[in-house]
Parts: sequence; structure tokens; C-alpha cells
Amino acid sequence: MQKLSRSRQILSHGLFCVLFFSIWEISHRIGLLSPTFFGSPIGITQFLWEGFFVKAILWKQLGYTLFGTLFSFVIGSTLALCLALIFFMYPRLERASEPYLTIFNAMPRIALAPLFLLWFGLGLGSKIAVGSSLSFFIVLSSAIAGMRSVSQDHLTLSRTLGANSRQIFFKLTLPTAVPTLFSGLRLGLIYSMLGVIGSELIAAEHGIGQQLSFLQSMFNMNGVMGLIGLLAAIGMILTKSMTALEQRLLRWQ
Amino acid sequence: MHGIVDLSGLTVRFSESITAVDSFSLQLFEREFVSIVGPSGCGKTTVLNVLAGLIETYDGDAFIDGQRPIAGDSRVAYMLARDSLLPWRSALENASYGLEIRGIDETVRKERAAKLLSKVGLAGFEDAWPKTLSQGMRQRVALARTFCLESQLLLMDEPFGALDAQTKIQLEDLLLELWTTEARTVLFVTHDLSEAVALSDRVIVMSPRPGKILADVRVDLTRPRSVRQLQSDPKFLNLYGTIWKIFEQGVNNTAGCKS
Repeated sequence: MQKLSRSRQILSHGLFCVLFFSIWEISHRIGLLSPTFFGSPIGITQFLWEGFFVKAILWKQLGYTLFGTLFSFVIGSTLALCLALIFFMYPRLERASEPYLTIFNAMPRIALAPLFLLWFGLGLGSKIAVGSSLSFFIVLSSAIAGMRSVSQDHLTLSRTLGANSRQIFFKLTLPTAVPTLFSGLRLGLIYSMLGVIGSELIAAEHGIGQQLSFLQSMFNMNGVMGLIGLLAAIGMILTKSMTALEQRLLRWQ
Repeated sequence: MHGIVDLSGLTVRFSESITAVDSFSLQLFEREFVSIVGPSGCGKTTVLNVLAGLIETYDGDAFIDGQRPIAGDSRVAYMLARDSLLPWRSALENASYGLEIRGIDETVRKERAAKLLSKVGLAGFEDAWPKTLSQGMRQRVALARTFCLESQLLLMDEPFGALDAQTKIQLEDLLLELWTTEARTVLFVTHDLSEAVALSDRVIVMSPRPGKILADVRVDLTRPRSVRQLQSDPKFLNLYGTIWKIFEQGVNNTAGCKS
């Protein structure tokens, strides 16, 4: 029963997509949709096919973007976790730095991109700076929120058992924080990509964002649409793999 | 001669105006089962918290086997009102949590926890996650965790307060069984008079805040007892009636001056 409805689901989604792209393609052919603004499904497929398999120029661009994303994520979340740990050990420091963090967090940090471009140049440095600054705050706030959610009962119990602060951290705080932390990490990964793409759109030598900006200036709509679709697919793969990892780690939920 | 627990003139103030416990004196001897009953907010839990070493500022004296209470004392095990199982640990890992904190070797603690889980009727549930267990089963795991510590003195803060009537009686009988076989001293806090009478050797009745002792009643029902059968025992009902009167008078006397 379950299996049947699952395959039926896939079938109906497939049907919807076929219908959607057919109508798009037909509208394009009979001139209902302007090719300057919308491109066409077949044109998009051709662009991606050529980009990856004939001229094979997109691999390099994709590599730049992905590398930038992963690097931003690793740097941003590592720094965030270290700071969260320091805050855990020195709660007074956390209280003292709260207004500054709030200001930085409230600022649309993509606005830092021009500054970072000046500091780090057109290469990987500036996009990693933007990407990490985006993921840093998300991971930091989720780590802090997670560590704060330790149950009072668990704390009381552990204290009467004579737990030291090391034991409290590893046996209570950390496991309590993991679910919240994970949703922060998942968002952080997506935001790293957002930062990198945003930075590439503004100015870069390489990357999918830079390609997008270039294709847009050439009015190559098939290219623009193709790359947007590509980014959506990558974003989904990243989120899905984080969720899979999360489910393995949080079997108890 | 000192007891396992010696409290004399214990007074705990939370602030200038709030006195939680007022000149509370109590002595507990080895293998005694003593309950404290009183209306909610009368400072019952505060007494336990002092003995568990969680409250360090108080007037008067508090001793456990001749020593001041400190948090983490291995002679004391504390069982809370809610099961407070760690959701990311299996039943077995929860039952052995206390031993793990106290640095007991893994094979020893697993063995001891498994033995206690089977004693509380949860053999076969060692690997179950807490969320898959019923409220009663979770509280059984908490009982196993408490007894696993093999501490001399058990402090229990309304451990069965959140359970339905039937489950409660089952667990009360289980507690009596464990108490008999494992030979412990128990200080049990509850607001359920019937539970206190059924389980204890002595029932301490407290007044509403500031908590004072109204009466210290000896329960001379024969052991071993069955909590379920006691429910219709005339002697039990008689004692219950007597203590209820004291309880009621205490509440009425102080009702007028409640803050």
C-alpha cells in the first residue's frame, strides 16, 4: 500500500514536470514567451549539456563555487563552534558581547561583499569571507540556543550525582544541543552557498555566480535559467545529505 | 547516637520574606522508610535539596551519617519527580548514568544496570529509547538508575506523582520490594497521604509554608505490605484518617495568614 502510493507520487510529480516543461517549450515555439526573458527547456538542456560535456567549461566554474561554499562552511561553522564553546565556559563574556553580535547578526552581511572584495581581491578569498560571515552567525546562534536548552531536571540530577563541568558538557550540554545545532548547520551550509554566489555575482574571476552575471549581460537566458536550475539542484543535494547525516546521528528522536 | 540523617532546627530562607522551612528537626535511622507529607509549597523538596547538597545556605544543622551534605555524595541517591531520563540514551545507558558519572568501570556498570532493569521488570527493554517507553516504564528506569547507585540513603521527591492510580500502586509495590531486598534508608516526599501511609515506617506531616513539623506518626502496619491490599485494610484506613485530620487542621490553622 505504502509502496504503491509512493510510486504513484513519483509518477504524478513526473507527469506534472513533463506537462510543465512541454507547455513552456510549446509557448516558446509559438512565440507566446519571449526568448529574451525566458529561454526554453530544450535550449537550457542544450546549454547545460554543452557546458558540461562538450566544451566542459562549467566543471571548473562549479568547482570554484562548491569549493568556496564548503570552505566557507567549514571556516564559518568551526569559528562559530569555538566561540560557542568559549561562551559556554565564560557566560559573562557571552552577555558582554551580546549587543555586538546582535548588530552584526541584524546587518545584511551580503553588504560586506564590496568591502571584502577590496580586502581579499577577486579570487576565492573574498567569497569565502562573505560565505563564512553568513554561516558563522547562524551556526553560532543555533549552538548557543541549543546549549541553553539543557533541562533543569537533567542538571539537578547530574549535580546530585556529582558530575563535574566536563561531564556536564559532554554528557548533557552537547547531546542536548545537537538537534538545534544540526538545523543551524544545515542552514549554515545553504547560507555559505548564498554568500559565495552573492559575492561572485558582484565581482569574481570564476564561479557559477560570475557566469550567471556574465550570461545575463549577454541576454543568454538559456544559460541563466540553466545555472539557476543547477544551483537549486545543488542546494537540494546539500540539504538532503545533511538531513541524512542528522537522521543517523539522532536515531533517538 | 547519630542516625543516617540528622536534621536539627533546619531553617531555610529564600529571601527576607520567604522562609521555606522553619526549625525542622528529623532523625532517620538505618533501613527506615520515612515520608514527609504536606501541601504543595510547604518546603518538602527544600528539605531533600539540603540533604542532596543542592542548597548550601541554611540555619541549624544537617548531617548525613555524621557529615555535612555535599552534592555528589556517593552515599546519597536522589530521585526526582519527573523521570528525567536522557532521551539520547537507551534504557540501559540511562540506568547506568549515575554509575558512569561516578566513574564506575563500563562492564561493571552495564552488568549492574541490566540486573536492576530486570528487577524493575524491564528485562528485554535494555536498548529501548525513552520516547518509546510508557510513563510507568520510564519511571521504572528511573528507579533502576536510583537503586543502581547502591547508595545508603535514597531521597525521593514525589517519584510517582505523575502516574495514573494503577501504575502508581504497581510502582509503589515495586519500590517496597526493592527497599526490602536492597536494604536502604529512604526519605520520601509526597503530597499523597495514602501513599505515605502505605509505604512508610513513619509519616512526618508538615504545615503550609513556612514548613514546620505538625506530627511524626509511626505507621505500625506489618511488613511485607502490599499497597494494593492495604487500600481496604481497616487499620490502614484508620491511620489514614488520623493523619488526614492532623493535615487538615494544619492547613486550616495557617490558611488565614497565607501570604
